[in-house]
Amino acid sequence: MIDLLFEGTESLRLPCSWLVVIPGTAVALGGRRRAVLVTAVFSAVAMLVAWLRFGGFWPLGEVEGITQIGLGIAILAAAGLIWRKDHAVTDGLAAGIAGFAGAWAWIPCVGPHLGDVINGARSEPFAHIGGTVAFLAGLFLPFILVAAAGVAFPEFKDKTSNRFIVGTGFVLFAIVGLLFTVTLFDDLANELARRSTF
Amino acid sequence: MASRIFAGIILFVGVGILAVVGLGSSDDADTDVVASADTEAALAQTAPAEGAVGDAPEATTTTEAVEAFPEPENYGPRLDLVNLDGWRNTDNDELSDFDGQVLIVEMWTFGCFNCQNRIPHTQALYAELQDENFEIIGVHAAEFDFEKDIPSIERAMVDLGVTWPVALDTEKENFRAWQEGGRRFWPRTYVVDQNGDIRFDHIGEGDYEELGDTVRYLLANPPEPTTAS
Repeated sequence: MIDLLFEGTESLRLPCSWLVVIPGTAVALGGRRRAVLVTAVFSAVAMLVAWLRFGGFWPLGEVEGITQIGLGIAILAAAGLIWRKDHAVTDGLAAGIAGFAGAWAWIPCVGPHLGDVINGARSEPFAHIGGTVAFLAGLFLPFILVAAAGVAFPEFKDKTSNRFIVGTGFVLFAIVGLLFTVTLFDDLANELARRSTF
Repeated sequence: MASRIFAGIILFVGVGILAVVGLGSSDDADTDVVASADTEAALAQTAPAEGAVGDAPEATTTTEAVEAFPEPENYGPRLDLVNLDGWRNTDNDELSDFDGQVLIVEMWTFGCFNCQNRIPHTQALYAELQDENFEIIGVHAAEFDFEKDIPSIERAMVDLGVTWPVALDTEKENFRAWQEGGRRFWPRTYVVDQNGDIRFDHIGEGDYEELGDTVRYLLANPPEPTTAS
C-alpha cells in the first residue's frame, strides 16, 4: 500500500496525472473554508470512478464529443454555483462534479504498482479497492495537506478563504469547464505533455 | 483538539512523503527521461548499456526456468491490426505476415513515461531471443496529438532504441479494438502464441520476468497447430 501511495505522489509530476489534478486544485482553492469537505467529496467521487474503470464496471465509455461538452457545461454551472453561493451543499456538489469529470477524463500513467492494481482488478475488483484508494491518496496529497493544514492551523484556514485564493480557484474551475465545453481540455494536456517530453 | 492533532499527523506524514518522493526523483535516472530536453542524455539513461540493461532482468535461457513455468493461460485468438498508417522496421505490412511466430504485441506511445520505462526490458528480451522464432510488434497508438506526427515517432524510435517492427496506429483504432470496454491503458503488453492465441496480457510496467518466461515457454513448448492457423 505504501508503494502505491508513493507511486501516486510521484505521478504528480507526469502530465497524464494533471487531467485529474487540475480540477482538484480548482476545487481545493475555490472551496473557501471547506477544504476538508471539498477534498473529501472530490477524492471519494474520483476514487469511485477510477475503481469502476479499473474493474471494468464503467458504463460510460470515453470522454469525447457530446459527453465532453456536457461535462464542461456541468462544470461551468458548478463554478457559477460556488462563486454565487457560499454554501456547503454547493461547494460539495461542485467538488463532486469536478471529481467525476476529472476521473473520467483521466488516463493514468500505469507504473508497476498501479499496474498490479489494474491487472488484478479485472478478476478481483473488490480486493483492489484499497490499492486504488492508496494510489489516488498519494496523487491527491497536495489537496489533503491543504485540508489538514486548515484543521491543524485555523489561522491558515482563514488565509485560504481570502478573495484572491477563492477567486483563483473559481477562475481555474471556469477555465477547466470552458476547455471541456469547447472540447479542448485534452489539448491542454497534450500541450503540457509535449512540453515535458523530449 | 483531537482533530487538530490528527490533522497535524497527516501534515507531518504528507510532507515527509512529498520530501521523500521529491528527493527520490532527483536521484532516479529513469525519472529524468521525460523531463529532460536533452535527448542524448535521456537516451544515455534509457538505452541499455552493452551487457547491462539498467535493472532489466538478466537473460535466462535455462531449461529449468521453462520447465518450472506453468502453461500460460489462453485468452483466445488475437485480433488483426487494421487501417494502419504504415509499418516501420519491417518490410511486412500485415500482422498475419508474422503468423507462426511467438509475438510480443505492445501498445505504446513515445511520450508515455511508463512505455519508455518498459523499453530497456523489451530490448533485453529482444537481444536474447531475436534469433528464435520470435518477434516483437510495437503498436504505436498516440495518446496526444503531438505523438501522431510520424517524423517525431521515427525520431523517437531511433532515440529510444526501438529496433523491432512498429505498426502505426495513429487513430487508435486497434488500440481500442484490442482493449475491451473502458479498460484502455498505455502500455499494454500481449504475448501471442504460434497459433495466434493471446497467452499473456499485462497493463503498465512490471511483470518482466513472467513476460520473458511466457515467451520462453511458448518457444520451448509450441502449442499443437490448430486448423485455423
